[in-house]
Amino acid sequence: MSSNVPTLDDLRDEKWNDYWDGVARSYIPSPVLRVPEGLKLHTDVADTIDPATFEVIRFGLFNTNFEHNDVIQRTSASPIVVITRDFNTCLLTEDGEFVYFGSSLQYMAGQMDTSVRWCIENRGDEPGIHDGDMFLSNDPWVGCAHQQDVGLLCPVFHGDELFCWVTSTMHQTDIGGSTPGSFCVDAKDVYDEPSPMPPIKIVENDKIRRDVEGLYLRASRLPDTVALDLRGQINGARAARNRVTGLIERYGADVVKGSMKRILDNAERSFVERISSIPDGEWSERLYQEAAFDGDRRAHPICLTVKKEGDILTFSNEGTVLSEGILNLTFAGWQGGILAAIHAMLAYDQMGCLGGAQRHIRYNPTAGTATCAEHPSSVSAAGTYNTCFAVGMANGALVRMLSCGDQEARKAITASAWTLPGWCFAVAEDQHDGSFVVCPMCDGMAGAIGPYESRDGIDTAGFYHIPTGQANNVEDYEQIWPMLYLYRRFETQALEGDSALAWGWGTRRGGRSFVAGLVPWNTEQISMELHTEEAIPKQMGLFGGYLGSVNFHRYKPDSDVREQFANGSIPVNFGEVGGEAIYTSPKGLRYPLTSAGMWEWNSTSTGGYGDPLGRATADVAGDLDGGIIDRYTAEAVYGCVFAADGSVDEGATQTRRKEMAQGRLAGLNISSLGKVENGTSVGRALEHLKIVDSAEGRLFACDSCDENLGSTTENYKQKAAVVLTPVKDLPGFRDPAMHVDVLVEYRQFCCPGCGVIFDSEIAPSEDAFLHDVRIGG
Amino acid sequence: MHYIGIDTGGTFTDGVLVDEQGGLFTTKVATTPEDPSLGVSRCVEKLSELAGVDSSTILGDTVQLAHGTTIGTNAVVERKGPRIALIATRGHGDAILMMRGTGRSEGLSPETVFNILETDKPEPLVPPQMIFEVDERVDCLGAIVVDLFDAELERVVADVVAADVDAIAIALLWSFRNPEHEIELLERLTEACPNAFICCSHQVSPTVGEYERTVATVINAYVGKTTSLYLDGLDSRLKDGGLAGDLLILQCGGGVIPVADARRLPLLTIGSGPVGGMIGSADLAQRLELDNVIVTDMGGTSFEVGLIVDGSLSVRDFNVIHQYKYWVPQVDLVSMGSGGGSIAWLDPGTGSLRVGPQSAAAVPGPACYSRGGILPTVTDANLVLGLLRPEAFLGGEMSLDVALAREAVGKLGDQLGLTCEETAAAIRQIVDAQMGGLTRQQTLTRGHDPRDFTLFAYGGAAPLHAAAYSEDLGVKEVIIPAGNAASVWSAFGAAVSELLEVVETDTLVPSPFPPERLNALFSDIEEEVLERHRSQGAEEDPTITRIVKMRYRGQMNRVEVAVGPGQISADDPAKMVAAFTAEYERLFGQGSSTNQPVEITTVRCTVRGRQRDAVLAAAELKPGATADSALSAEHPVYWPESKEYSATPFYDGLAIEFGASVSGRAIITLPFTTIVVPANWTASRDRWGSFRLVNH
Repeated sequence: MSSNVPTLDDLRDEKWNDYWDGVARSYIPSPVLRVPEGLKLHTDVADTIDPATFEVIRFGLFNTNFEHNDVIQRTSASPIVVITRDFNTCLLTEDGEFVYFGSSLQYMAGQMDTSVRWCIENRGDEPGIHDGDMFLSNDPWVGCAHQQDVGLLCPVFHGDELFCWVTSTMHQTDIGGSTPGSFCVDAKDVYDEPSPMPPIKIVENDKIRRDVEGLYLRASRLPDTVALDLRGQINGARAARNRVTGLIERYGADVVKGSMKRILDNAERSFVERISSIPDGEWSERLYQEAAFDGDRRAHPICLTVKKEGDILTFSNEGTVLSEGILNLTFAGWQGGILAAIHAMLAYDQMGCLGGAQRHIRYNPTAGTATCAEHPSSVSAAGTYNTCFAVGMANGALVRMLSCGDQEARKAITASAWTLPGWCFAVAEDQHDGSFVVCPMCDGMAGAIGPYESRDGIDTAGFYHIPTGQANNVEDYEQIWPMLYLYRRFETQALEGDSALAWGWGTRRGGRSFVAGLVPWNTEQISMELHTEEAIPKQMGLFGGYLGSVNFHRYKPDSDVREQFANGSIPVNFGEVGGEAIYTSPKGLRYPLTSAGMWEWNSTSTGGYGDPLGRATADVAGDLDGGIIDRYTAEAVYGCVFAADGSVDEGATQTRRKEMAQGRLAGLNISSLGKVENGTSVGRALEHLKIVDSAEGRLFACDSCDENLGSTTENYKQKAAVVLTPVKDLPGFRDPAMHVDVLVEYRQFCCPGCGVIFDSEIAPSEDAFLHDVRIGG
Repeated sequence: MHYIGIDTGGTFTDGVLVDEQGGLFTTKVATTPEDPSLGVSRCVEKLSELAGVDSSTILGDTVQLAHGTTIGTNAVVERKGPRIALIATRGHGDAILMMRGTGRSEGLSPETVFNILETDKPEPLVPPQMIFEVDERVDCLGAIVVDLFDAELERVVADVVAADVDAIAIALLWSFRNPEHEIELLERLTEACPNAFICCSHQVSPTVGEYERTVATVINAYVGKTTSLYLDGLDSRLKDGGLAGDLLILQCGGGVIPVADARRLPLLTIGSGPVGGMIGSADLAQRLELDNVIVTDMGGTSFEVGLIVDGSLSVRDFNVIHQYKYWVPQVDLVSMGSGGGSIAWLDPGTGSLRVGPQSAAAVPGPACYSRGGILPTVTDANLVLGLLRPEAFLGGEMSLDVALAREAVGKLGDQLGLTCEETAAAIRQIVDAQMGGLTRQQTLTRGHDPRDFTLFAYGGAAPLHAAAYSEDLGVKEVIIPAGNAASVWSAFGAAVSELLEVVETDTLVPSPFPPERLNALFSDIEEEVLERHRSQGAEEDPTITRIVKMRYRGQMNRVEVAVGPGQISADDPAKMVAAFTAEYERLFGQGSSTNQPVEITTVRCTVRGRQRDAVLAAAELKPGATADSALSAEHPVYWPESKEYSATPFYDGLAIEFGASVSGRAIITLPFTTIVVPANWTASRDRWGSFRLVNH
């Protein structure tokens, strides 16, 4: 590392700011805000605020942000905003701390505090920040995941002092670039994409600056829609600003500001308490993306580590591949993914107050990597994949961290976040008037919530990082876009008889998402501009739970669907459709689909939680009744033995399960460290590991059979029995060789003593086991 | 000639009788959950006793007995419906289970949706194994894509017969554009399953969006038999008792429908619970010549807000029950968990003193009820402050225990470092701010200025809080409608309800709108709405209200624009767009409109009509009327705003002369509620017995 690269020790120095400048590299705020002379920040805080006044103001501030959200949602002309809730609103203190963040898209959190702080430091002097101003911003190096996420920053003044900020970010359907919809999958760099705009004053003295608006709209293929959305953002900000000034008038500026600070202090205290039972250590996640660009056949590792020291969490991305093609994310998107996971697992009861947690988080990424890309990397396509990936990466590291805490920490562990909405954008002619339409298909929002320690996953319950997102109705889309859906139905966890297998088995089963098929309708052709496509599994099961599904898009250009229609039948899966299948490329370009064609895609189902052999037999029976699995799966995966009357034979099942667990060890090269003798259990890790203090020091041990898994500072996986299966041999999974030139393995790390599965990972065969749980040392 | 309104609630069945002279009789009897019609009969008997005649005479002279029932709502909430099957288009049977990905959060408060951990989807309305898919398909233009062949029809009918169900919902894609396949299935299933309740989505909810339309159809089928059985039983019980006029049923859109309609579309009775109060308010508003009213209802567990704008009830497009959303014209009421029973608690997550949404409900109830409740509630706070008198609760039938209230509130105060009174005052201030906040939100976010409104407050707890939660809104006046009748206001609303028929069609007409297309659309639905209206024996030539719902292309949210009567001419489309733009700017702010093309998504006709008009008599105002003789006592009250006790006069509300005023600080007690009159407010009793509070 060259000497001009700052470390966390330089966080408060100019060196940090010079390096993370928001121009060549992402802007990463320093705790020291450089406020230009002439810009006065309001910092007066009332000494005492009685409980009633505090709660009344807290409620008022929460509603301020809620109403801001509501105005935008009601005025937007973009289904991606209204249905997907691909927008969010925020209330921040004068210096950019999150007071309330809305319940729409969570990873937009990464955009808000960065943009506000950058705006203060870089616009506070010239052109100045004044009452009645609003700034437009979509520069990913200043703070957004990609250029389509357009931010509007509205300062709120009390007298001549900057009191706080109300901000929004809204995904725009098209703001230019080489591809309709602005996801420029073929961009070599940012110069092939919509041009990023660092914060620019678009409203002055409460009036829209027509010159700036003109510049902004000129790039878009849908300027009227973008103009309407901009007005929604401006009016939402006005409503929120008025609400805050109303509270100031009623209660006094120092009391309102004091309440904001108290909301933050309380959220901070809650966060610190929640992580207090977790020992210091490091936890990691590593997943692989296929293809940086169309034609690329490499697998690219993306890594994230969280380190806990006392009450501070530090996130880094060491091990992540260098930025390339469209793998990229700037810091704001990466931070947004982390904050989304933090929100869902460590601040879920704070109603959106992220600022408390943020006080105890440090970011230490490496510039130039795929999750902290430097200018001028291509980033416009980040929103389809890389942002969700960032949430999943943070989820993966954080759940392992939480597993080492007490029950309060463990209860929030979920396998939710790897779920990827199956995105596709189509471009077509309107079937009613022949005009040009961009169709951002939001079906993927049906999502799925993954399992928790205490409950199964929830089928199509949306995404945990978009709590209010919605999927469309099939009829909503067929009415406005020229397409006809053949089917949209759950993926299955049954091994037999269907092409949309999700797995997701576990002590707690995964949540199922959907698979859908469509044909162009009332048109000659539509063009599928953008899609997400995988072959390397990423929807990891947790702590012995099995994988969820892989996201795919595939099609049959010369299908027999119309013949089947004429014969009175409707195919309901890809296999039922005649014609040659074409598998799309992971970062492929547009695919034309004529009226003879048929397109299928899915949204991923989540992995399971815990070893499936631990699933209660009554729950397996419930899965059978609900058609979620078949009997073969109940027997082969869950080890159930059925009596003649069809009920589960409990005794025989337990015997069978023990045999199956032992069967995992058959033929493996195992070098056991033996049992831990006279150890004292001092904690847990994952689901089936315990942390034991013994004469040999602090060790991992199997919580069922006391098998010694080695020092907690070492990688327990080296001592585990490892079941290695090429992904191509997993029933229902695609052969990754369709997209990458490496052998990809599914690795299940089992107890050498009793065969219970501790955890699993996916990696190319040449890559070492990921050291993902490290305590102490 | 009498008008009767009876509203069955969870605890009480409320009854109101308006007699020929406009005299008003009110009663409350215990609800009889095992057979709610029994409670209705008892209500009629009690009203007859009050009116001094026997019930058969009363019923023989009753032109309209309007009834609000929760029988359908209860069936859904308690999952007490029958075995039900759903028939869906092949490939789309999972739509109702997928719930558009919103099943976890739909209808929950914004504060709750973040918490994935403690939220879940509801139980399925139809178990997956009871969903039957059929090969057929219609497209968005109504064209048949895949025929429903006889063999396929017979196959699915055989499957459904084998499933042995009592209710069948048929909900196919685009059926409202072309109902042929639904009708074929309906006819064949009616033959094959003669005892089942069967309904089709194109009849129940002819609106785009298969999830919501399917939910509506399934719920309609689910509650169909239960509702029919109940209404038939009630109808014959009342007819046997001598009812001469019609039994009419309150519906969610804000009016009543005949029993036959309620049997066919029992869905319309769901969500009708709070509608009676809104109708009563609209009726009173009309008599008081008030165009704009904010209607608030605060009971034991919740606080609800609705609007009357330009004399009409605000209606929205949807309802949500148990996280299931469906399209239906529904009086637009929003609700939050702030009521007399709302529990005050210290939130460990945010460290703040919170009130609600958890409620102590009726059992165990507030601590002061002495029914085992130990957590402090809003009612306990009011009692601690002295705003409520322990001896004068529920018409004196129940006394409250101040010591228990002080113990519960005091314990919370210990955690906060506050005295018992300070804590009670804080609880009250917080709940008042919540209610004021919601009320404000419901006006401002809908483009209205609360200063243009009068506020009505009814329900057992609202008069205690109305002045406080109105204070920051700047409303012109606060009215406690018809005084003591405020506690049976929903039943009063039922008694004065009008017949209501709404017919609408979903469409998509981009601007410029061809007048002939709009005329054709309106012509069809006007015919249907009139036909329905006439079949009820209502007046021959009623007024039809016509609206179109418009939006900018691409938007989901729609804005209603009124369309005048008669043929739409060549100039009208431009006027409609101008009206849309004006309404849009009113709603979302000046400068919010753009050049984006506009489209019409829905046309709707509404017919309202009375058979005859129930008129509440107005008393003569007495010149020089006073409240002096109504002054019953003076008690110390701890007023939250001044944080000190002051001796406060208590008045017997029924003894205050019509036209007389009381100046705050004062408390007016009525048998079933208490009105708090703070400093700088006056309360006067008007000709209809309403108390009108004005802030000076």
